[in-house]
Amino acid sequence: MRTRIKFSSVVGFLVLVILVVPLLIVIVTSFGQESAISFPIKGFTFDWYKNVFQQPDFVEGLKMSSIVAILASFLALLVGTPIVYVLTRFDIHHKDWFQTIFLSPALIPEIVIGFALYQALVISLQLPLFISLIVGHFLLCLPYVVRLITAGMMEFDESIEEAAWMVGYDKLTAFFKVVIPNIKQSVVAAFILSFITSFNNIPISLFLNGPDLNMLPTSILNYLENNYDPTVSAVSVILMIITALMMIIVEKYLGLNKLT
Amino acid sequence: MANIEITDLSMSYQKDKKILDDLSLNIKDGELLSILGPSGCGKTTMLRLISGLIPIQKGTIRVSGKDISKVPVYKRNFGMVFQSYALFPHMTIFQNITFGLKRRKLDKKTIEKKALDILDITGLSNLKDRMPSELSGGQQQRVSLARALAINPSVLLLDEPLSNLDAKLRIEMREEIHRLQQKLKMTTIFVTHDQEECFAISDRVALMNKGQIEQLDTPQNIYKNPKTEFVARFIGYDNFISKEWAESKQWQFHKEITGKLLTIRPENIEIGSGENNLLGKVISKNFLGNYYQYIVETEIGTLKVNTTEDQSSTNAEITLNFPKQSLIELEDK
Amino acid sequence: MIIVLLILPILQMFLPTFTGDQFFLEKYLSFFHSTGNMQVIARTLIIAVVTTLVTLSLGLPTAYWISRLGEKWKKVVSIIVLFPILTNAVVRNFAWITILGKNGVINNFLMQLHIIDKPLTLLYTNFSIVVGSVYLFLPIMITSLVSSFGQLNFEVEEAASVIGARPMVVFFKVILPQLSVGMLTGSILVFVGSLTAYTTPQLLGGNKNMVLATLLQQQSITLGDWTSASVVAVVLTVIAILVMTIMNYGTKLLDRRNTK
Repeated sequence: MRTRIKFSSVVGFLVLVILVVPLLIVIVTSFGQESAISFPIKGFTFDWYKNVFQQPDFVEGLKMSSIVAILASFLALLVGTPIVYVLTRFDIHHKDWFQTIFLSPALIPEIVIGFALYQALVISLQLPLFISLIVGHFLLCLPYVVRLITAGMMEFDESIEEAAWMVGYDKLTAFFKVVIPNIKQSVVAAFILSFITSFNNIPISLFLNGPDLNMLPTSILNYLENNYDPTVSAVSVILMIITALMMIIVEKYLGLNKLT
Repeated sequence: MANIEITDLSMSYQKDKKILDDLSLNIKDGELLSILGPSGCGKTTMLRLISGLIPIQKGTIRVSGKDISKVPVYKRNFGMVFQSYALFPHMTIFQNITFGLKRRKLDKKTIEKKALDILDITGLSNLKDRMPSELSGGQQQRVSLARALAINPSVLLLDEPLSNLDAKLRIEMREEIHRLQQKLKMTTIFVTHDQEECFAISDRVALMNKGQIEQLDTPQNIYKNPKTEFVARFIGYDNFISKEWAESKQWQFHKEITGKLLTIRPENIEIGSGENNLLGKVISKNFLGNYYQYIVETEIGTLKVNTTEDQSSTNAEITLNFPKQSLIELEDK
Repeated sequence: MIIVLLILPILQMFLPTFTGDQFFLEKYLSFFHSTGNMQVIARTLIIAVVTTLVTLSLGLPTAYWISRLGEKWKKVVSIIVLFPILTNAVVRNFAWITILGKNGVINNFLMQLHIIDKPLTLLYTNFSIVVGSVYLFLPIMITSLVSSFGQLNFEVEEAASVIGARPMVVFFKVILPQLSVGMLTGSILVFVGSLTAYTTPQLLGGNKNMVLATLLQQQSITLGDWTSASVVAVVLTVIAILVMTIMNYGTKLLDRRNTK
């Protein structure tokens, strides 16, 4: 038993190092003065961070990615929460079947979703690109919402809702005054996870972007095809800071285990 | 206040499995009626049908003469206490109690006064600003009761309210429920599987089995005169004797017997000979605090005999006497 | 709504691929006849298999180590594992470009030590795709394994030791079988994830080392051959769903055995 613990400690520690070091290298390279990324760095500068904000694609992309992520997460909650409520509270025939349908976007490869939506919504139906993009990200977020809210509803004692009906609240009012406040944590966790998932997505955005519709991850991807300078390191660091902030918020209000 | 008439109530979740089977029952105004029965007998379903939490499939329920089948749950103005207390976890005790009052068109002062009154009579005044999670089980159940009473309901429904409490609190809470019910003269339906708590506070008891009422009577009558074998077994008559056999032994009865089966409580069988005798052998003796229990093997099966004094020992051959006044006749099914 | 937004577009993508002058599977026959395409399929599958195996063998000791840490350290390590999951894939892959590139960290290091005098070709190979994929999916594998270690009954292990089983025997005969469901769940996520991943092969694989997802992107966006792209999309979707179904079925079988 001892040897196994020793062995697993060594591997575990190494794995942690492997997980952390590449990100540290990115952070360090973002401060290098040379115009090609090198490690170890020569000199020290914040110029690449300035350069990030001089790239219209990055600035617009950050804005667009945030807008899309917020809208898509919001929509997914708006649609997903009532669906989960109905699925968990009412005796519906073929419940499993519905469950599978609502989780189905997770079964289809994201890149296929992007491709199929581009063909169907943009080419066939001539829908505006932005709408199609929102649809794609909405589909991406929905399974997360369904999963997390379902878990929240399962923990919620049905009698509490019934108690609200008994003292005079109709089902809709009771839903907002009693159910929602008590699954708030799951709702918030679902929103944040949706937001992160949408914000980080590439495969769906890949097909549904255009000249005026740049998402940050795809902008970075495009930039990388033509340039290889520490601007990418700098924008990566900015993204890491955003992730870290999200994690701090989640940990403070919900506990990080809510996300996994 | 209100009386409740239930007529031909039937309910089934699956096609050929009836939870309730043409059940009829009248509950008088101001009465505390218990629905007693083993789990799965349909007692909770009946309570949920009355409350409106599940829709009626067949039959009618009238409250004060008015059919309530079409009245949605939130308009029935019934109070309900749940087994899990079901307090609103995100509200203080005070908010829990005023939540229902806020729905009714009352001004703020009236709401506050009503809530304080209820808190006072349920002894919760000093807890009003706490959250439910900070309360003990007994306190939570008190709040649950207060919340149900706050809306001044026409009927109070109690769904196994004591089953999550420990033995001592259970007695305390049932006295509390009894006291409040008597004070407010509120028509109350109390669902339970515990005969002791049910007998202690009920005006009448409806003993249910397989979606039907086996016997509806006062606690005393049910205890003294169970009508059917099911009722007898449920309330602790462990000894059954067929009439045919008893007649063949020339046993005496205090009246003419028409049913096929007789029963007697363990404490009513005497050790020693008397008017109706039976030989047996003690196969085990247990001291159970305030009485001794003998398991006696006889020609009609194993019987239970309880006595206050220690009268015999294991393996002893004894004669049992069945006093005719204590032999109870059961209806055929 | 899901049906309109997802199923219909998918159907619209499927249908044109089943038409042909002579035979409804014509397009698939010609797709599978091309050695290039078969190579892409093989590469995609091999990368997914290798990635799954590597993450599994690194993940197991790591998860074992994490599950035995004290509360405080467990939390710290969990945060380190969770952080990459929530960080954008572009960032994580970019880190490996800086490490594996011609002037990257590894080549620089080895040249300075005079172990090599010409930079090694590490980037834009199958190797770099696997490295990137392992890096991408390792945290996910660890997370699912840690949760299944959490449900593990350590007393069983102690019981086995008490009756004299050797440590390695205990690990393989007592612990691993209890973890099989967690291992399968993690493997599904990693296998399907790397099977359908786009960003990693795009950034770390270059144009030569195509996988199905990058082939789909190339056929559609770069070449504009939408029907061929649809065929690729269908093949990718079918493989992904097939793998998921089989592995889910396996999980269910194991689950039943464990609860017995």
